Amino acid sequence: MRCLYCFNAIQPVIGWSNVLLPAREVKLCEDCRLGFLEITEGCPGCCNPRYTSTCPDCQNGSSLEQNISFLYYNDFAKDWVARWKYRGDYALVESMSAYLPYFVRGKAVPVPLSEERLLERGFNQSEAIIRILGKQSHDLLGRTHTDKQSKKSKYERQQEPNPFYVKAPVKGDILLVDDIYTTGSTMKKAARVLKDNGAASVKGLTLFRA
Amino acid sequence: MFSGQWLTEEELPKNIDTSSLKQHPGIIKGRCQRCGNRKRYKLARFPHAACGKKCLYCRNCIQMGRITECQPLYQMPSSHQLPQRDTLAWRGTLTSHQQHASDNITETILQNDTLLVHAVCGAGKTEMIFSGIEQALEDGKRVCIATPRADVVRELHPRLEKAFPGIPVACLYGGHSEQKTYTPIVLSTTHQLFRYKQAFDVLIIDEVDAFPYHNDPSLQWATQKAARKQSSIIYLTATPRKQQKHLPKVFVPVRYHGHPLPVPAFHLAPRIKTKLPDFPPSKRQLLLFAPTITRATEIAEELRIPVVHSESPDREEIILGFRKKEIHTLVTTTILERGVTFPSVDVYVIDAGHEVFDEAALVQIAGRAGRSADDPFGDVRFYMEGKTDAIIEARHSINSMNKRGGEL
Repeated sequence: MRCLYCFNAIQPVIGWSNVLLPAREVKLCEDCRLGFLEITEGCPGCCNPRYTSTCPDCQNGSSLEQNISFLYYNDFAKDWVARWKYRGDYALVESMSAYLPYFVRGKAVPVPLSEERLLERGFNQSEAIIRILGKQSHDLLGRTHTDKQSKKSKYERQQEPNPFYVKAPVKGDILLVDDIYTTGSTMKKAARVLKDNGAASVKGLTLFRA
Repeated sequence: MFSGQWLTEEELPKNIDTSSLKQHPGIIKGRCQRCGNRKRYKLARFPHAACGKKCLYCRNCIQMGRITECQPLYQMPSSHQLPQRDTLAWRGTLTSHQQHASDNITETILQNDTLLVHAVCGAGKTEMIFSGIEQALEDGKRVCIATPRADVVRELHPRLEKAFPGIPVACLYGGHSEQKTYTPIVLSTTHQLFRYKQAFDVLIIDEVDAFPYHNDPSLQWATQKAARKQSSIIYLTATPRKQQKHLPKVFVPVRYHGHPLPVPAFHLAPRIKTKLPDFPPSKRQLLLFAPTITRATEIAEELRIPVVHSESPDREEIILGFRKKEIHTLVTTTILERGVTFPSVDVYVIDAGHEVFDEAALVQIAGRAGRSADDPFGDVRFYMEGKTDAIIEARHSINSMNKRGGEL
């Protein structure tokens, strides 16, 4: 086995748990696994790890019922995301399976990319996460082309018009999936559009929480 | 512009007509055409939005942008170069050994042949290639000097510009990789050669045995690919590895100043992995080599001295500070083991028995000392818990080189 991230060989550790049971496949080596930091506690609304009770942002209410995130967006995660999303190393997403739950409720909807961005990047990172979750992806949303979110401030993000629109009829409980939750404005805008068009509830799932 | 490079569509200059360019797919028969990778675990498939298929891509050179099987690489047309006479401004004299090697290099360049130059640390390898480069420029040949280490590239650049004042030299290393204009001389890390294909008539590879070149087949493939079909390849090293032994070889056993290599002294330090031994105060500047970045940082904190390693953000400034003698003692990892010259230093290796210090690394580290003619001596100490094969072989090899040098 090779580590998906650094290509070093992984030495399998043999213990009682994997002598008797088939081991869960390890995708990352010990060092790379230690680079990520799992979120254990945070705001119940948006998973913000800087708060333990509801954070001021969530107290104002939002179109998104809840967001769950799994990892801190630390320096290691930033490098990982840069290689995965911006360089386009799609296969890296497999290494996230260890951090994601076995089962999440709701109809999985990826946060879309604009046509231009999709062609440039070659794949939709949210769809990749949904594949790792083992769920069916429902491509309900479309997006008009705007500049990259990661280059803007929170205020700038909130002031922008909503870039999302629905492509297909929406109903039921939705699980909105994206890679990073920073200010939440992307997720909230997408949730707003889904709700206005007939979603019963919208929850969010994101890999990283900045 | 970009002469001799093969680029992806994103890397191409904006206003260029792709239909006029030579092109081929990025991956042919499971081999990446940029980095030569064909390892299964470094190739993967992904649902590609542009072609709608499960498309194969290369994960080995992903940091330079993604190469896929459905997107082509384009060849930038190569410019022609006019022969130039009397380009060398360097007027130093070579020792008889250097002269012998230099003549061999020039001959190899004329014959489009391959040569391994085995020269001890501090033999003056850079000066030996000057006349060969001058000969190549006179024949209108394009020269590339490549090395695995970015620090070596940064050190060589001013020396080359000084030696060839009228000739533009492109200097490429990670983060400074854009070549704007055609240059007859390209100085580059071996990683940057991935983008070139059949571009150079003369390829000089300095420190061939260095990490990561010697154990990375894709870098070796890239250098072979960067050379034209009719071309000469010259390898320079102080510590050749076994797989390089079959090449035609010239040996330079003496340093340019004629003094022998400093022989390392062994110091037993039973708890070297956690505790530092008492160093005698050193009159010269001191380089401490630590096996790992973690250990280097620990030592730096304990002694309150600067540290430089591959992940230090201000690496270049610290090395410059050491060179200007603003820093007396510097802790480092194997990144400074080779290619860099500080005139008068002592070298102590902390935990020389660690597995990162193989024979080549130890010989190179010992070779950092006593490099200037004004002060050809230096104190080289290996602090260790016990002798390893690498330590014994390193001393043996230094002694035998000194012996061969003394006989001549």
